[in-house]
Amino acid sequence: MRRLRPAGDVAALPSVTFGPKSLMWWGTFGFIVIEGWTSALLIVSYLYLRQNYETWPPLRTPYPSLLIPTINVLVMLVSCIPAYVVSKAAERLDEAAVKRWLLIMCVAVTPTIVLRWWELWAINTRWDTTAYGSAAWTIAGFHTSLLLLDVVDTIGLTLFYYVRKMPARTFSDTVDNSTYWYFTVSLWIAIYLIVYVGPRVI
Amino acid sequence: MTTLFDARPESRHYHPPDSIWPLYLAGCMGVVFIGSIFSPYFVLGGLGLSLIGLAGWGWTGAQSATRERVLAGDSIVEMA
Repeated sequence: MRRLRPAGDVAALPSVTFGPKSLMWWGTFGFIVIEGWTSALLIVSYLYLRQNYETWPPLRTPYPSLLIPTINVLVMLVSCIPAYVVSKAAERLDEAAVKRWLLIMCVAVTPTIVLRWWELWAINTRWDTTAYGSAAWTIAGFHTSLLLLDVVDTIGLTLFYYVRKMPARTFSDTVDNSTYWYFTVSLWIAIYLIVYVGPRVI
Repeated sequence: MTTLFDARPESRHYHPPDSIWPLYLAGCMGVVFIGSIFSPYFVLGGLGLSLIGLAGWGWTGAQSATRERVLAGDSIVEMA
């Protein structure tokens, strides 16, 4: 049997890292690339359909309402504040601050799901009436799945922090959770401008 | 883990223990996508079942086996 020769002693190396030094960060980054690309394809489909119509939305289809979507964009932007603070607290390894600000982040992000339900109906047409309705619902519906995922992730992470002793590597997960929330909010701002504001402009 | 270009050892990766939950979640996704062909209620049911899987996977994956060395800024901190 061949004897193994040690190539180096890595015992002193860190087992928890943040940002690009962390494997989880690359996983989150890859997920963002995949979901961002899928969203881009959906938006291109929407804009492609738009050029096939004389009017957009099609005739006898009302414009999307702006009130609820605008409120939700503001709520999302405000929710980035606790996301940022909890991220910085996690980088400082300050568990008490992480727990406190994760709770505040939960309070800030949960209303976005409730508002999203009304936001979908603010498109003001059903998904099965025209290609416009189908494309608008698909884009908003797809983003809803990302939103739901990150809200559930945030609530789950918070619950775990409060009911058990979490390992140190969860600090890194907390930072990644905030990074993904920034992506979710940024993507929605683009979708809000294209799907809700866009028909009034283009 | 190594650096991106020079492949110098940079950190140790803690590999999570074996778990049945990823397979369970894959089954839930099957319920969501295949079921959605027949009824939208399968989507809700599949997502509801996924919550159990996410909680189970998160719970077992968050168990700490050893003391960890955390790279915070430029310094390394020993933590349980």
